Amino acid sequence: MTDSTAAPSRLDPALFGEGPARDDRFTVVDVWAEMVNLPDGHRDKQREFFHRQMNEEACVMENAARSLAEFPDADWRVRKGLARQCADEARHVLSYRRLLEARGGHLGQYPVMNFQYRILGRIDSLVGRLAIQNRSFEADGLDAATYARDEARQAGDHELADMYDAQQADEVCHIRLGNDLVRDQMAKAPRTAMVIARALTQAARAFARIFAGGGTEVEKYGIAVDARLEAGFSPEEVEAAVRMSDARRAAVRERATGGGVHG
Amino acid sequence: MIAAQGETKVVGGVVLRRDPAREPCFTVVQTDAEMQDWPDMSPISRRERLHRHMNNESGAMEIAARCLVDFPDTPWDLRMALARQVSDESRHANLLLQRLRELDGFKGEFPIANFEWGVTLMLEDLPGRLAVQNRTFEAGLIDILGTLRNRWREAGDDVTADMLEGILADEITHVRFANRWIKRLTEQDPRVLLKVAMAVRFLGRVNQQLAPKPGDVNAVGVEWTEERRQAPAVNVEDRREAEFTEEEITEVLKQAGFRSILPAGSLGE
Amino acid sequence: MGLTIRQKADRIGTFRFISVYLMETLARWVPTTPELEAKVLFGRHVWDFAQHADQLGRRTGELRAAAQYSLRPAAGYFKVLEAVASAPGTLERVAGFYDGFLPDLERRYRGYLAETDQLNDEPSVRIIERILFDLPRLKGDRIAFAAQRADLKPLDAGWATRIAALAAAEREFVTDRSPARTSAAV
Ligand SMILES: [Fe+2]
Ligand SMILES: [Fe+2]
Ligand SMILES: [Fe+2]
Ligand SMILES: [Fe+2]
Repeated sequence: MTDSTAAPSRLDPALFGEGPARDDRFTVVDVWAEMVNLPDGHRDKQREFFHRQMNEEACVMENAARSLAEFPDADWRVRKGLARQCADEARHVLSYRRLLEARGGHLGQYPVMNFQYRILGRIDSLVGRLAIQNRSFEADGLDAATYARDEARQAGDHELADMYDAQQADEVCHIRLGNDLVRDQMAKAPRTAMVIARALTQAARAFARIFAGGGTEVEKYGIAVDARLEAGFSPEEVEAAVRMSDARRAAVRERATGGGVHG
Repeated sequence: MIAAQGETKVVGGVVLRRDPAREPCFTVVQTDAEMQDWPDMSPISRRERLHRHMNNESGAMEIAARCLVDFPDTPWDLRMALARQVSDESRHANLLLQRLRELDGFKGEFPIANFEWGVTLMLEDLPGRLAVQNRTFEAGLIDILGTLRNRWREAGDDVTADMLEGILADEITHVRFANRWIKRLTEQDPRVLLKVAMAVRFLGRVNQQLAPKPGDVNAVGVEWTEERRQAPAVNVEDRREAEFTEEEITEVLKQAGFRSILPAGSLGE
Repeated sequence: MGLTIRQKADRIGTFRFISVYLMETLARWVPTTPELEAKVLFGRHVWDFAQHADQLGRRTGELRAAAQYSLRPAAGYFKVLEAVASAPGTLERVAGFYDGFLPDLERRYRGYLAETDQLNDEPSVRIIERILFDLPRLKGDRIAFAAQRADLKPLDAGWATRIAALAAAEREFVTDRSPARTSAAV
């Protein structure tokens, strides 16, 4: 077995833990700029996306699995939820692989990065990990999947739309798991808010390093309001997310048209 | 034929729900005086104990089944608990029938009575039924089984003793879910407590009117002595497991005259 | 095109409705059937259908419907359920339920498995597989009952066949809700 994570990483060990094991078919890179970032409309764009997303799903699976192993004293309900998430994400990996291969791609065709796993490796509380992974990363994924599903449906790509449709339903459950845990812990110990805030700040700093060269300049989709409400976010939280997303998209648009002050 | 439902009968001046369907092989009686039971552990007494218990399990199954049918808007988790109970009681009745046959008994060998069904099915709300059937009759069964199991074992019948022990474990779960749900429903709506109180009072009145008095004799001439009329030893440990509070257990102990301190097997059960 | 989330939720919710209906039907029969062997047959299976309903109901909660969401089946199919429940005697109850109705229900579960994507909808698939694992045991209990009570005579020997025919005549059993409002991005 070859572990491609053995390659030295240039990322700050204070913010990033060890990467997950990958076999030697994969080229693992550290940051977004080292990925193959194809322009919209490129004929390989979709295959690269499936490949990238397949690995992201693997990282989420690995995060859920690691939390299950590292927090044996967590509430059984939460542990059961993590076990379920682990199985769901495994399924998502397989779904992306199936699509990738059906559409002419193959494993290891493009580089992958494991930032989700590595960021979480430096968060030492379960509530912190779920706040980042389930409430932030997956909630963002939910917005993207909702948009992508509707786009695929409109384009007549029902196979893809059906997959997003199914995954979106799963993600709602994962986010709910995070929301439930956060709510429970906050009720039990108000200090939890501090733990979460610290974790989110740390994750935001790490995230910024990964995407320093771009990759967050998305203006296509906004917040999936219904799905987020279903996933247990409060109306106030969803409203705040919509406001932030609108502002972010406006800024991206402005930059894209060259009129931005950050230009 | 399928028995008609929704009818009542009058026993000793008390209006009770008419009996559930029984096969013609059974003689269904209405009072303790018509029952044939013996205080000892002779072969016929053993068979009668199993036969009576079998019918009581059947009744418990029927009561839980009716609760499922009569209260479809009950919270799903409580319906699940009731469905599970139906299946447990079915298993119990089946086990007792098998054991009865192994001891050369048969269905209809002795008279049966459906007292618990008659009382519980007069109640029109679920908390009331749970209070009477699960929290009172089945909790009483926890006490009885605690004692009986030992009697069968002392009489050298480990097979029956083991079977009763298994049944006891299930009964604890039935009493416990009733305790939990009554508490939860009462927290949601304090008026539930009133329904529970009315149900328990109804049971008290029925008991007062129908319970055998000292000096009464049953169908085989066995006299109801003061000792036989008393409740069996209170099974404190298992009642605690079924989530009765310490105060409730103390109250039951008080009413039972602290009979639990008597050595096992000395009761008239 | 496969099933949308809403179509899955509606099918699973319909299976849940049916499971609850069967649970209640058996429960209704427990006190009203005289034969002890039949009572305990029904009584034990009440819990099986409750568990099926519960598992299906957990799944509806994952398919973006309410947890424990039940959808009333199509009118024609509902009449079949009512026919099963209206059996005139003990043997008709047993035969109509186990020989007439359940095989058709089993076919519908298998139809769902054939229709849905095994990977994307794996949790539904697993639940239905477990249900399908249970059904032969129920059938086995029914056969054991027949052996125990070979003395019983049917009131209507053609009952189960008629139930089976009624069920088979109803191709559609799910009433689809109107299409979901898309939860597209704001
Ligand atoms: Fe996923
Ligand atoms: Fe997820
Ligand atoms: Fe029982
Ligand atoms: Fe019980």
